[in-house]
Amino acid sequence: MAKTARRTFLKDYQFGFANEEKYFYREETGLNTGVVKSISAHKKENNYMKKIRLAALESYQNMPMPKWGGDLSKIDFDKLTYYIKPQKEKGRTWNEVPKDIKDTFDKLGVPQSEKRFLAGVGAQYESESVYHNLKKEWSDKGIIFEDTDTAFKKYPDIFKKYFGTVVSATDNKFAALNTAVWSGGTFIYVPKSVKMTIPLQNYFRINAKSMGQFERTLIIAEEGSSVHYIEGCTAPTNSLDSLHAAVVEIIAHKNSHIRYTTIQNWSNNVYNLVTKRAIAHEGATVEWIDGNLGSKLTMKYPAVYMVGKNAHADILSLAVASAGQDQDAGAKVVHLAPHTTSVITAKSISANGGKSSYRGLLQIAKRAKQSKSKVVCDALILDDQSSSDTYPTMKIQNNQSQVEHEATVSKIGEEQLFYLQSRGLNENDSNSLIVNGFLSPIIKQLPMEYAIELNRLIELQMEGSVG
Amino acid sequence: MKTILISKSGSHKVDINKDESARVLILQIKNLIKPLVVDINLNGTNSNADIFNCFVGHQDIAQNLDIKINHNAHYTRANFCAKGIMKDHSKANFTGLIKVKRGSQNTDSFLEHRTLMLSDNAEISPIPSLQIDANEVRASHAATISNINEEDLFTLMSRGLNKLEAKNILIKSFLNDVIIKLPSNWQMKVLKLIS
Repeated sequence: MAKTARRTFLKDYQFGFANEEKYFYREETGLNTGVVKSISAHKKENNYMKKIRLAALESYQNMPMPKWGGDLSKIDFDKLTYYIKPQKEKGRTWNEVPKDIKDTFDKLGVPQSEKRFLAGVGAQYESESVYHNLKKEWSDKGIIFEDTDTAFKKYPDIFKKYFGTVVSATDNKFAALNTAVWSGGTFIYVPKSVKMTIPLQNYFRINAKSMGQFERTLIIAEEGSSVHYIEGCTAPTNSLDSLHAAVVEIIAHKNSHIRYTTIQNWSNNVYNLVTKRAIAHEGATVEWIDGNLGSKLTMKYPAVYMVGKNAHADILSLAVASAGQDQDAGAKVVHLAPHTTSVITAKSISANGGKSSYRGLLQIAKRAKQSKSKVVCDALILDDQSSSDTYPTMKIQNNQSQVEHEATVSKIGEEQLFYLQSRGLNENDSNSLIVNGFLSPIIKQLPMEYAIELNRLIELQMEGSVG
Repeated sequence: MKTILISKSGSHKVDINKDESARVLILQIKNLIKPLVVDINLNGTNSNADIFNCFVGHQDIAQNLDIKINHNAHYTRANFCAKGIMKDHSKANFTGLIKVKRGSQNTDSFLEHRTLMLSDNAEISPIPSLQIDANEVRASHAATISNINEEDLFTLMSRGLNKLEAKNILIKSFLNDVIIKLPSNWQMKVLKLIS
């Protein structure tokens, strides 16, 4: 078993192929004011955004590197490329996308999934969006689904009203970095009372070596509306490290419903340092479904700030850490208004020497009377080289709320295994079945195509470690 | 089996050797701004620790408890149970870490921390954590925070008790798990404080 366990995940990573690196424009490596100004100029931005970028760069340079969580000391910020423009113009139809990029996304199944079950699809390659399309029946209802750069130019009023209001440029070092060099991402605006019944998707791909991808996503759901957004990410396998530092801001207005699903499957050389935060107003529901399968180090804690009464937050977090991976995932909920509720379910699997951590915050402020929260963290640890940590922080400031938290770390139960084997399954199949069952609360929340894909990915990742 | 009593702030270290069992009782009823730090080291195979913590936050006192349970050997077992109430303007911080060292297999560890929040002006921040570097393991923790259950209160009052009496009974029964483990002089102190 030890021998097969050592067979690295890299070999099995099916999205590890790379294209030749030929681009319309590639920024020099390293980060300074010149680079930020050049990015801004390439995007033909006005002074408003340029000022924000330069101010954010200054705060980025003044902030210390976080010392907690994973090991960030090995990122060489001077060797990264902060901006790559793959082509001159973005495609509106799939045929306008350059062939090699199109082939990449064809292999990833992006256009097929649009036809089958999505209302709109975006694709980002390196720093820029290469394709963005929303089906006409939805754009007729007033829904805006654009890449963030286009949205800034086409809808400056909505953009300026919300940009940076949930995650400010000085929030943390990587939010500052993102604000300084952000490029691409998704902008969704759902008008009052419009309910999107089928999901929207954006797919993020890093192709270049030592690349930094800094997309910025902004989702606004007006009163009584609902939307489901899915994002997927992959990158080629490479010996040089890349960085992905995104910022996601979500504003859920009164009685709206937003679901945000992420299937993060970066290759094993990507640092994934993402700030994701939502504000839920009165009666709104925000759901994060966060699947972390890939990357070298992930530090990501989707957050919901419940500022209106009766708001609800639901966070499902899934982390699978295999050889050489550190999944420092978690969730944050802050109850700031009365009668707010939240549920966090976190599941993690560590195998082949991987490390997974749950790091979370649950805060119930003084005025959040009659709030309820439940946090459940379960971890499976599959061999003696792997680690699993849990750090849930709770802060309770009133006496009319109910808080429950539980966390368990264990291995696959011998008795469960024995039972399944006594019914005629072999050890491998029994192990897979138990792992699948362990993850099922999260997987059953995904659209079917994703659930199948995820099951397959987990089987690949677990190969050699279970059984 | 040795019993260790801890009630003063500062650093306390409990080493438990092969085949030994220890019972550690921690009482927090006074103002302890300087953290009370307890390290439980399960150093030998088959060592065993039962830890009980009773805390009562009242007036404007602050309490900090920082406990680490280190599983440094095979077949070690620990059980930590904390129960307490928060009244008035009291504040409390709790960090409880279960740490299973790499190579310490077949360990079994549980940590629970339960709080009854009786005052709206009190504040509590429990941080139970796990650091697990072994796979033959059972490690879990649980934490709850809530006020007295209204239905329980109603049931008792419907049997003719007044509100104060009913509350007292519910508080005592909540704390009972840990109170019965304490030495009698500590029991008296706690009962005096809660009634």
